Amino acid sequence: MIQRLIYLQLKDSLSVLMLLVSITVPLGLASMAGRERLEILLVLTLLVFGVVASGIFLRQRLERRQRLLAQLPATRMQISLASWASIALLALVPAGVIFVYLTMNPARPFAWNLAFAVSTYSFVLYSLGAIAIAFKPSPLSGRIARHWKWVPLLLVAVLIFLWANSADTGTFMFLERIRGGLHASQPDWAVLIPVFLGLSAALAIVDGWLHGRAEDLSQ
Amino acid sequence: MAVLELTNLCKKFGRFALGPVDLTLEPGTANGLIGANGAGKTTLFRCIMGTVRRSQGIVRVEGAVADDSDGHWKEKIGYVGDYTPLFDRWSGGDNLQAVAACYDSWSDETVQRLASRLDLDLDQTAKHYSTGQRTKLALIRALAHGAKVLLLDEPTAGLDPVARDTFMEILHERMLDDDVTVLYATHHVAEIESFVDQLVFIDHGRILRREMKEDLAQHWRKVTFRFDPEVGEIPNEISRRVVGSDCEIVSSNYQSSIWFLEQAGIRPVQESRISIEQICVQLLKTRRGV
Repeated sequence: MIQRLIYLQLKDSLSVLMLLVSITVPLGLASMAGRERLEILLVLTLLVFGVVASGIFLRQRLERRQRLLAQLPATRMQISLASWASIALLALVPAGVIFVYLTMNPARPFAWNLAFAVSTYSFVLYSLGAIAIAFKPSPLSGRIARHWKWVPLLLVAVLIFLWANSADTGTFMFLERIRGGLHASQPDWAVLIPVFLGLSAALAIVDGWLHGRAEDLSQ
Repeated sequence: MAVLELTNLCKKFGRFALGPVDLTLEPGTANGLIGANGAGKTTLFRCIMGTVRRSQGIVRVEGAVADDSDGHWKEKIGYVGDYTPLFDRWSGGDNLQAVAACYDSWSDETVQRLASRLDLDLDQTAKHYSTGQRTKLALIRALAHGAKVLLLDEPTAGLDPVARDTFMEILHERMLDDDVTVLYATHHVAEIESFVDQLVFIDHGRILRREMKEDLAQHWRKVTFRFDPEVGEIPNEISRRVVGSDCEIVSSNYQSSIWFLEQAGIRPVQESRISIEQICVQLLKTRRGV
């Protein structure tokens, strides 16, 4: 059942994601043809993906997808797992774009490229989860409890700030103090990737738990 | 064995409380769920389907407990709700194909046959469907997977008269051919009067009364007699209206009411049948103290 639900979710998002790939790949190639500007590609890819993802989740909200899925012969846990599995698969798209770009560019070692793509994946995974939660109807009732869903999204903003800032200062994500910008710095992958993956896992668990206890899935 | 059994089903929603509801539906029966706006019909359906979390109680489908530990029981239920959520960018046909994979006993032949009878264009994009077309698609979805129980929540609300007629025809056929059990919520009793076996009255979240239609038709009457201020409450009197020198009562057991009047020395002027719809109105009005 979970595979069927994942297929449903992905099929619905596939055309939009193809649009994303068709935008970011030529941009990456164009960027490669000129000066190497990883930052520009990264920002563009994540920005386009963020907008596309928001569009997907907004549409799901408007179509009352939660209600549609709740009527199918699946448990709440299966629906939640399928939802997060499809998010995990969607997150592969921007990470894949970045990875393809990096491997086509011989400036850095393969291990660096791979680590950077994985870190991008883990960041996108968390961000996507946060966007999905923000667009879902709140599972909790009560004035304050209803607003908890914005907290993960706020954390994304904080993490972006830390990540961008650390590229120059060398704190938290990027431990080496190198002024050359993102492409010359050496991020501390051992911190970065587990932090994002841990946050994603925590978000998925909390979301699944709340989905299982949601009072009303018919919104 | 009951095909659908609700035991002590409760749901609290802010100031609204549903239940405790105890209800048993026998296989192959048609049951009307009658209640005013806000009586709890939709909440009851949502509680059965599990889209609304039950505060308390047990739902059994064909004897098996229907809870969130396993979703297979939903294959036995066809649900047409007050709103039909769809994948709006896909065609109606694609919508059905998408959910078909989730059911073991899906019939494409049923889909084509019903779409043709209901005059529904399955190639049209779902976002361009009207409310009635969405309802038609929901009915096709509910019937294509061979559901044993149909939960219909005011299903004809957006249908045109022809579609409504076809809808009813299809429902009759499924009940006769496949022994399907129906729980049909509506305000319009006349719509279901011809085919229901049992009427379940719900008000303020509680099952007020369950009556077999035949019993209602047999025992309920309007009894008219010369008004006598000496006469107190008459047994089985549901409502009373004084018209000039006459008094009209609606009785849920006209024979005992007449017997009481005769014992009091009052000879009834007239007793007449009343429609099922009038009976429902009387019951709900009495409950609300109108």
